[in-house]
Amino acid sequence: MFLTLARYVRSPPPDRWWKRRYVFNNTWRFWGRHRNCYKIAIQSMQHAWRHARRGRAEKKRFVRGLWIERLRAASEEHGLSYEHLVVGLDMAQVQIDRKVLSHLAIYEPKTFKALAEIARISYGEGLMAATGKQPEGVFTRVVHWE
Amino acid sequence: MASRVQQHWLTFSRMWLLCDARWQPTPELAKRICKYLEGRHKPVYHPLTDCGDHVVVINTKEVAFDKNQWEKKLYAVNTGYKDTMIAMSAKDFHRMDPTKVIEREVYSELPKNSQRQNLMTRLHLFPDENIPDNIKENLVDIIPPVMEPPKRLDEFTEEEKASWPRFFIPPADYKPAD
Repeated sequence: MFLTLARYVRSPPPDRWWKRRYVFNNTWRFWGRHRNCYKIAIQSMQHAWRHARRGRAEKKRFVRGLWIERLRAASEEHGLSYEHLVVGLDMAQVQIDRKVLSHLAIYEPKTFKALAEIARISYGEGLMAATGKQPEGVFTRVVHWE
Repeated sequence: MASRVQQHWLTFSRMWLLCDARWQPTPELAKRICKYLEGRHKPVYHPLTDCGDHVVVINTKEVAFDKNQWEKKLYAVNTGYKDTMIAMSAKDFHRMDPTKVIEREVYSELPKNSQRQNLMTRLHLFPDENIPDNIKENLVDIIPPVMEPPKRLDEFTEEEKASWPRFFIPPADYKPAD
């Protein structure tokens, strides 16, 4: 059976007005001809969408960097470095993430001070374990997850 | 705290910090001053909030450079005459104006954005320890030094000299070969 002619018939495209309306709904805030002229507006819209897609990934990176910057400042206030804080908390099996830690450093300073002490002690304990000496007055407790 | 508003004002208030540049290595000192000017020493830091502090640097004429940097490092100086830019060694530049070396170093360490000029106006440099009274009133805290200044041999006490660890103690009749 000859089917090619049937396949040349397509469904009608959307009305030109509606197609352009979609673009202008997305570009109503742009400047000048980028707002009102379709040929220019569609390019601006596509650029904007590309920047937004890239920005969504970059925002996550930027925000994490800001948490780390803030934790660096907060741990310096307590006489620790950021690396010691993170490694010490990891050794003490405290699994609080950087987002919550930086929030605590700003809004719950006493809690953060206690966490810094935990990190300081467990970081020191790691070295003591390597050298074979136990610090006095320290009670270590390891949590096992089954 | 009486209210949240007061707590907010106190958290974001701009502090005045003192820095002693006596015998401090210049590039490391500049990085430390930048950190305090930008506000990176605060847990509430954000690049968009203007949370940096004022930094008052004293004894800038006694700042230190490593090795032979005083002779080797060159600064571009505008003489004011047309088409002439002079490369001055750090020694001559420091002799010309004792505060300019630290000013140039901090300017090059700051992030290269529109905040830079603004932050430079919050840096106050003095060649010795004479500070105007209106700035002295504002000072709140001291920036910890980059390096403790080294002591001369005659500044050590006899006990310290005797208890200093030695590699080996030679016998009484030891004579070094000439």
